[in-house]
Amino acid sequence: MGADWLLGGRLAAPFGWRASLRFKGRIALSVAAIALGVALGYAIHVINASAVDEFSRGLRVASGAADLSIRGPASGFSASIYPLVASAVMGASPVLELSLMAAKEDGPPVSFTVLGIDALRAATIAPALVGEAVEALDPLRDDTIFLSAALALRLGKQSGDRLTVRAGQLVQELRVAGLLGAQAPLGELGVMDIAGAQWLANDPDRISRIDARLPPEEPIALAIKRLRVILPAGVSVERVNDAVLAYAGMSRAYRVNLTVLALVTLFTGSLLVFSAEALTTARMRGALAILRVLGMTQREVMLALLRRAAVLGLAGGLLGVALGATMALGVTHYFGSDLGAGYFRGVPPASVWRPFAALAFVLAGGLAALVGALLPAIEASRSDAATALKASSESLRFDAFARPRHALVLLGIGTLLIAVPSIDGLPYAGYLAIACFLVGVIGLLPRLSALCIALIPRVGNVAALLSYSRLERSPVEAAISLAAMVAAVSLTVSMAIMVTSFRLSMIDWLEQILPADLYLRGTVAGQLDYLDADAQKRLTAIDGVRRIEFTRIDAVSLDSRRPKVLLLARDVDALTITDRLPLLASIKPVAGDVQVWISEVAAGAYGYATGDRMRIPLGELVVDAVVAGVWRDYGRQQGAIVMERRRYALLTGDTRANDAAIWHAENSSVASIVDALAPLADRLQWTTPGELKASSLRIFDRTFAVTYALVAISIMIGMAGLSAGIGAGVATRRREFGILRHLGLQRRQIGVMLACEGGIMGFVGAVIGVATGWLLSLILIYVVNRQSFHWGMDLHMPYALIGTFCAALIVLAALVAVVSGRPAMQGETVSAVRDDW
Amino acid sequence: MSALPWLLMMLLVFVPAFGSAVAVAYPTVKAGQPLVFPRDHGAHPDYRTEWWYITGWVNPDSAQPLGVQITFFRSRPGIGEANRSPFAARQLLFAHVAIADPRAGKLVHDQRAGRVGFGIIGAATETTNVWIDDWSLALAGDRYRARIKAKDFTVDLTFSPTQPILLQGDAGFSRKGQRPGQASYYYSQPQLIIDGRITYRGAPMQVGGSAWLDHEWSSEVMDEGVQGWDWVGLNFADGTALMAFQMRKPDGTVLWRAGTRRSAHGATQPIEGSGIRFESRRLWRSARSGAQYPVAMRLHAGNESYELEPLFDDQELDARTSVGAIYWEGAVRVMKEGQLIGRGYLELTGYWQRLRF
Repeated sequence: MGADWLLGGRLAAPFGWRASLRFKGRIALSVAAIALGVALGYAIHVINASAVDEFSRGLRVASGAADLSIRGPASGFSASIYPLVASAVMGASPVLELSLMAAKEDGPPVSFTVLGIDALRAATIAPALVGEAVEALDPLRDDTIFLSAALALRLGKQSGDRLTVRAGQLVQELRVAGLLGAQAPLGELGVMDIAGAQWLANDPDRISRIDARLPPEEPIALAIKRLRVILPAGVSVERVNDAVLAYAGMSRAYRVNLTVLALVTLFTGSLLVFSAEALTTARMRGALAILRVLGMTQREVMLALLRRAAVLGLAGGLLGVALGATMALGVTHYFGSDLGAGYFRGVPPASVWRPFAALAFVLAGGLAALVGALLPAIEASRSDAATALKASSESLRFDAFARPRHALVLLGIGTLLIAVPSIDGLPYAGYLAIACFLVGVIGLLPRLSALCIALIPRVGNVAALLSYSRLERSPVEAAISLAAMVAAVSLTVSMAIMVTSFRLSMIDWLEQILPADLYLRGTVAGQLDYLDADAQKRLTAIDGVRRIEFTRIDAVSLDSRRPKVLLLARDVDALTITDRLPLLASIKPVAGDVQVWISEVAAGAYGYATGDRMRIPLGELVVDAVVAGVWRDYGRQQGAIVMERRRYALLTGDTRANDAAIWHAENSSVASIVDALAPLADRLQWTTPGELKASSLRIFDRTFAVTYALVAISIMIGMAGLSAGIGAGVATRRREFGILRHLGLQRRQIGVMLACEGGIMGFVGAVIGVATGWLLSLILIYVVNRQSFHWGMDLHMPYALIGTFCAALIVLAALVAVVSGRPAMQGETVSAVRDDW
Repeated sequence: MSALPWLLMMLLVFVPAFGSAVAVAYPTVKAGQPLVFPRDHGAHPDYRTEWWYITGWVNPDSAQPLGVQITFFRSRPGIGEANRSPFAARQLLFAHVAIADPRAGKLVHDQRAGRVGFGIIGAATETTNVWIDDWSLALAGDRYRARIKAKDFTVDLTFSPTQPILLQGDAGFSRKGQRPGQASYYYSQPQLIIDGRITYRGAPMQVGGSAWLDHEWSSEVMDEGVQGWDWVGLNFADGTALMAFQMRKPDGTVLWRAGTRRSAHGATQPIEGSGIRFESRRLWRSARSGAQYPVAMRLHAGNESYELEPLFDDQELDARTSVGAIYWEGAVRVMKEGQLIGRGYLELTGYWQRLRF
């Protein structure tokens, strides 16, 4: 009874909060690091989950009871396919999707999507799309439109109002016949009669898709097979849910990379817990020994230590989830739920509370702390009570550090993992390799830091030499202080190298991809916004235009579970292509073949190389093409295929264009061509390559904003971790300083010694961190990025940035050592020596 | 610079309105225009509305008689007339099929609707051939065949004539109101013999019976003041056929009425004006719609009068999603002095809301 009380109460205090408070700086840091990792992970998860939820809800509503969706390229396919499908299934609902612009009295025009439907067909398949009409025939009229609540609000229109829309170059007045019901998709959406939509599209033969319902007894797989037989090869039959997969897949790699960054932050948190716990348990060795003598078992000691760490981790996790939810709200508010990358435009703010995910992330925080505390807890519980009581030494000996073999094995595994290809489109092996390298390097830290210290020439005065010898003799303690810093520095450096390489490669790429003087396109994005043959002729005839090249943008599905690949029909041929695209590889063209030049992304994602034949489904036909070249493209993450426009027009009969590139004549200028275009400002927009480059880089920087923020945070954590480690070490060395003072050292000399110690620590951390970071950046560039995004980049080292960063680290470390040593250096030397006795 | 005005013109194409917004001129139904067969069995797409309406009794003498009703409506709503799209809703088709099953106590029915086009929905002009997907009614030789796959049952029936075509009104010109345009072209095929198969309640059954077909097209049937109409098509056991209808005003008074009786020997007697009188004998109120229908009637036609008794009361049809109305369309027995002398169908419209097309 008595012993229980002792153990359960006062004697257990060293594990409790009162003890913890003494190390509140380090504890706060560990909690903060864990919270940050959790917050980032949770925010990414929540934002993505709500974006996908909303998308699939919208899809469910829009497709209703449909089992299958018959789709073609983005330009659609012939309406003549509709009767084939309709007579082969139980219900078929044709849809034409358009993007329209609506004029707004106050403010810029609004662009929105319109679904052209046959209300009588949709009524049995997707009733939510059929508007609530006052007049029964209104859903069938070709000059009426039904607005979703969100769109009506945005446009300030209600039932009965007139709405002027522009489709491509056609302006048309529609009557708002009503609103879509409460079951309709939440976003900004309009619904029209399909004949009206075709009228607007000025193409009575095109439709975008057919939603089909099967008899309940027919298996979907069988129906797909059956339909494939009757449909032209260029039209695909997809399960409705495939679109959700394609949608989620669009941002998947980006998302997973961010999540891994979050995990790395969490890992840094683990390392901070590790060094905090290691140093704390070392200080508590005497108290722990007393507890052991009083009858506490090894197991109980260990569990008590772990419990404390778990509480810290869970606190960090809770804080992190709250922070992550706030982040998600902020991010969706300011960027849209695409994290600034442009993936999830127009999705309503995330619902940020997801109980199961929140629980998982809180637990992940706890787990991170437990992992960090495990080694110190084992170490502390194992130490022999008698020696611990007797020994005054606080030097640390970690068994884990004593066996470098494990660390070497990890490095070896990491090296092997680099060669492993992606699994399911994601570079899992690459991530694992990064983890192996990080943990391996940290395991080798005592030896690596000793090696680094040995490299430093022994020069200078007594104080400097003293700092060398102290660091040489306590490599494990140095390693523990350095662990979190090395992790943070290597993460920072690897990200910096990767982003710099990417950014510079992107600038090179922009130079090559934008050779013309002026770029022209319609003001609405989308298929409708075309320049017809007549418009092309007129543009070509403008004075001062030396050369004009048009592009028709289409999109084709090579795999129904992936986003459509862009098909760019450009005015190029085998000769001019080398000046237009940054080709990475090409072959001599074969006469007669349809040649395509595919982007690196398309090549990587679908496994094509130059010389391969590929089949491109293009509506009613499938084009058998030869991959004549692979080019670098950072612009289109879904992949792109370039085809000669002449060919495309021959194959599809479509001679329209979406974009144009203009070269001015010698005696003309961009300005004079722009002048000539000025009266068309509301129909066309144009931009110079300079503006395009600037806006591309702006988009790039915004996409990496999250990465930059994370890098900044990890630098701060790294710095804070280092100063806490050094500070804690120095502050408890009163006794040592007293002896040194007795031996005749001046206070100033001790200060120099501490500065040297700190500086050397900073230097060692920086060297190992930069080396590790460089290694990790290679994995990021050549393995992770290649496998997840399929784009290559050239390695560019940000020497100045890394140099400045390292110098700052070293100076900071020196400063922290001196500042935190100051209290220990003060007071009487005699009392200082006696103090800890 | 010379290209600019052109470019501007080209880019500023402004279409003021869809051609379809222009009012459609429907042909007027005129007297003295003889019906020509088989052409007039087919559709008349220029006219605003048209229907082929089959009503009949299946296995009437068995213990479990059924009423059956198969209707195809065609409508030219005046939409998309100038639209080049093959989807333009210039012609709409609606179809109903209903089985009146006393055991179910209500109509078991299904409906289809769609725009004509692509060969999957159509109405031929040469002879009767209308179809919506796999629902069809077609005339081959002198035999009609209806093939319908409804939600709860399947119908595959032929209807063979035993008598010549019965032209309604004045040689097929049937007036529906005071104004000259308020009329339709209208003929009937009474005393059709039903033969075929109905799969209902999971069991296919070979059936027989007698039916009535109406084919009617017009551009302006109803006067603005019409609330609805009552109609009967009756096959008497002795071979006599009787059609009668009345157009009612909202206050229940009659705006127009007419009828035709033809004896088994072919003597046709038009019955005009007050010669036709529908007299309510019993009202039934639908709990679903709240509408109240005179489901049992006394019908005066010329110097005869008959009692009409419904096969059962609840033969209300909810066709809001196709023709936009709820009405009563039911199998009735014709009684005289307590004797069963014939069978047919009674249609009661405008009791839920004013009937609109």
